[in-house]
Amino acid sequence: MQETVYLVDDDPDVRDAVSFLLTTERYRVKAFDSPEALLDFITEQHIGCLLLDVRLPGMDGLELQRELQRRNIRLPVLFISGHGDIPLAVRAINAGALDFIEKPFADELLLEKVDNALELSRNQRHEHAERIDVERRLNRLTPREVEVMEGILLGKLNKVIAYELDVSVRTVEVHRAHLLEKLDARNSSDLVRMVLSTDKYRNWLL
Amino acid sequence: MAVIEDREARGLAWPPLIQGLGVHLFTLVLYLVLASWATQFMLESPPVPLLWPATGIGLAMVYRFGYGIGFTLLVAGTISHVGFGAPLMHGIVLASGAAVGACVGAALLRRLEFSSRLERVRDIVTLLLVGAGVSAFISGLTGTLAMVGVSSAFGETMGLCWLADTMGVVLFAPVLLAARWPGRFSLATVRSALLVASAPMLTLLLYGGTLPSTLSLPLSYAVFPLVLFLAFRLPPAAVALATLSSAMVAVACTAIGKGPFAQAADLRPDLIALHVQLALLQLTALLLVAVRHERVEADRRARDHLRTLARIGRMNAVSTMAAGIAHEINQPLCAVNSYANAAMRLVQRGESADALKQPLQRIVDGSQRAAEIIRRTRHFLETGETESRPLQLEALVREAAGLLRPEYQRQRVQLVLELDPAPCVIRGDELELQQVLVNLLQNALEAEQRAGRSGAHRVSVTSSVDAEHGVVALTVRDGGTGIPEAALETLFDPMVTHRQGGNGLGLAIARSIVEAHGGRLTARNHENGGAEFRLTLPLLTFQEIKP
Repeated sequence: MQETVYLVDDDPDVRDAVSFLLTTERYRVKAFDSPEALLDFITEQHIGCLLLDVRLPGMDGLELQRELQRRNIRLPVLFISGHGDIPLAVRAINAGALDFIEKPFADELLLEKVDNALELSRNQRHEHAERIDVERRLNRLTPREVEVMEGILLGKLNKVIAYELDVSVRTVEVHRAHLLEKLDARNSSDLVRMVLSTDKYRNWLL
Repeated sequence: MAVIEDREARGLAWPPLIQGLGVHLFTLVLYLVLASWATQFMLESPPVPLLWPATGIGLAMVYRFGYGIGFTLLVAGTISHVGFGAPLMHGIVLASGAAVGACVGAALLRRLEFSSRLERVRDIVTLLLVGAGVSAFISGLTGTLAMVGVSSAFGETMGLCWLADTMGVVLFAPVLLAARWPGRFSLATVRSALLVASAPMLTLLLYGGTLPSTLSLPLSYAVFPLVLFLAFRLPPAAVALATLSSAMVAVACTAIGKGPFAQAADLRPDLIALHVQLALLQLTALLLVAVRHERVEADRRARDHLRTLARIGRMNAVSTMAAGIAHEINQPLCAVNSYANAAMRLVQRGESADALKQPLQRIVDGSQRAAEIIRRTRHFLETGETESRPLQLEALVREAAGLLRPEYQRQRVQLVLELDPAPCVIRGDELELQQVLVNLLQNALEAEQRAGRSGAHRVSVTSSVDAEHGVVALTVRDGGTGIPEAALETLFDPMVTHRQGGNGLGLAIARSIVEAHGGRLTARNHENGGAEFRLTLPLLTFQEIKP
């Protein structure tokens, strides 16, 4: 799957023009004339970013954004807004869009924002991959190791963990060493960051 | 915006020859010629002419060319009176009486905002009152005093003098007041001249003595229908000229003892009876022309008002479309901008000229699209005089839909056109009819907006040609909640609005426009929901399209 800019605009001229500009800069572009066409096509596997007109036939940009979130499609969203649509664009940002750009726009600005969006997308993918990896490694821990790890997450000292689990401090130290090795963490704080980034433990401290 | 022209000032133009000194010379000659003609109808005792044109000529010329003419009148009067045997002092007094009467009358006319075009009824009445009541009175009084003094003959002489002067005013003043030098001569001028000439010809026929007197008296009224007919065809001056020439023929014939009024041995009762008939003929004709002009003028004003209102309506319509129009122009601008940027990048990368072909072509297309939107909007707002001409209904509908489409897209309402493929040509003012359509489409869109999510989000425009009855019907149906029963009756009344921010003029103007085009505009609620506006217009026949 290649990194692509998914463009949705109902105006054929604007659609062709933006596609042409992006293609000239060697981006892969796939254009759609309606939100429905995009939704029919796109899946969680697609990578890249979304470039959406705020006003679209049948569904506005905000509704499309919500629908994409509902389908767990987390590509960065850039909105293109026309004259007088700024308030709508601001609401889109508040709802989680990356940025918006006003028509007619300077090419550098568009390209810069698309670049940023694609980079963000790559970072997100990287983090996602890392998270998946961490989760895979977490699954390899023994129940006892999990208990020790949760103690570490809560910031407990080794002796407190040892007392609570009714084992020796030495044993806790051995478990901690195994944990660092199994999760491929450099030290305890690295371990905490890594574990807290996973879906399972994201809200664990709260 | 409005071109203000001084019609009165321009209308005063006479052929260059008669301007300046020429006016005085013209007055002098006219006076002398007509005075010597009038002295043929002198009574034995008192020696008074039965028709005296001096006061009429004087009043008209002083009113039009200023008080300086008064002097010429004095000179002309003195010459003519002395020429016909009056002593010099006597002649001067008589002439000054006529001149003063003319000047005072003219001064009064000026103060009373009289218009010499004689296109209003009040102008005719003012002229009659001032001419008979002031000018003829002063002139007649001076003449009587100079001739008989305060004596037993005063009453009769005064009456005859006054009548002679009044006839002069009634017959001669209107044509001299209203006459304008035609800018150019055309076939219409010749036709008008022939029409004018028909009146004295008919009179000559009736008064020439060829008919037996039993027939000619009742037939003397035959000139009435002819003059009334002319009053419907010609401007005031031409009608006045027709009655004047007809009157001069009648008077001349009667004086030499011919015609229906020449029956008694004494000239006096005959000519008085004739005078009454001629005066009534002249007044009838002038009043009729004036009434006709007032009607035409009122119609023109009503049309002007409608046109002004219509223009305001169009501005209103565009102001509500402004956001949509801005968006619609922004789209091609955005496209042009992107293509231009891309083309620049291609150039910087040293790509071949071929690679630039596509973006450049698209830049041309985009700028044309923007220009088309601006053209359409500006055309809709044009203020110049437009004319009624044959129009394709389909083109009108498409143009109006083109104006509204961006706004419909913004509101996500579908605009469906289902136009009858049968040829459909109507006659009308393009902008005004387009405005009616824009108004209906805007109303339909607003009905959809008010209905919100419950609306059908679909407005359909349907046309159907009924060639047999020569009409085309166009319906605009929305998917809103319909018109409340109570509102249906007052929907087209001006200043009655059923929505917030409305001025209640849109539909009133629309209906006025449609009715001015000989059509009808009605509204009802459709049985399947939504409001339906129905517009019918008369179709043009094939012959009318290609005359």
